[in-house]
Amino acid sequence: MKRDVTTTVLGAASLLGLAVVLGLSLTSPLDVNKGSLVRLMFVHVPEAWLSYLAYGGTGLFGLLYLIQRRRHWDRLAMASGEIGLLFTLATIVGGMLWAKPTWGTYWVWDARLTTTALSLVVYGGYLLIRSLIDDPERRARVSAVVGIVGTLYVPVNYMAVEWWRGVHQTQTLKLLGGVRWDAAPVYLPTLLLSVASFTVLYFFLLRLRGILAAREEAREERELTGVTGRVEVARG
Amino acid sequence: MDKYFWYVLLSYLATFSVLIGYLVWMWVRLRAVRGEDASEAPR
Repeated sequence: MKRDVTTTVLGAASLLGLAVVLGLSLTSPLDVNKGSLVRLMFVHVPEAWLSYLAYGGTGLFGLLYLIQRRRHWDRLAMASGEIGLLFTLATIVGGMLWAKPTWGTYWVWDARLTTTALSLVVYGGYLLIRSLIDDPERRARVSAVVGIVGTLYVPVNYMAVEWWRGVHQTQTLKLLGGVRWDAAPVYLPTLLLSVASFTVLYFFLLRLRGILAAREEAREERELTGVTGRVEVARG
Repeated sequence: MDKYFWYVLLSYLATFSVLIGYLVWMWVRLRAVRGEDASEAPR
């Protein structure tokens, strides 16, 4: 079997990046106020970023499918939605573990938390719709539209801490209206490295899931062709 | 190590469990598809 060099390189880079980030995170200095809780930032923020990236990918690949009608884009859109959903789940669990010692409770119906939980509904719905439609072309078309509409939800989730007052802190690294870092400078390099590593990880998972989806689709088509062939033979 | 250590550890464990779980799930399915392809290949 031909070795897939790109996937291997992405996998190795992800592994290396995450190992370095893990080492740097767990040895970073404790924060004066938050103690070791500050180390949650190095995982919580990048996994939230990864889910945004994945949801953006779902919309972009869906759009590319509608323009080019290539099933390759549909498979990538599905893979991206699935990855986004998983990392949203991880973001929520990590966030709850950060909330308990900070706010005294695992969950409050704060705007950021609520919109993040709703994104599980949006992308869970996206994957559910896919599973309910058998015709591949129709499935790709419908889910592309749902994926594009779902992507519009990402800025709402991102801006929730600015638009509605709640208990969730505003962005530590502000990107809009001038870049600003609102924490001790010593934490910035680790966070940036972690974001970069999670970005590489996204492309690795996307590629791997895309390969799996392509192989499963090819197998389904072979099975379908086999069934159709047998029916035609039986009819004479 | 301070009083928040377990929250940090659990959060890291949750993240990496999701990641490893997903990778294992994909690996199992890729193997299954490869196995089926091999058994269907013309002899």
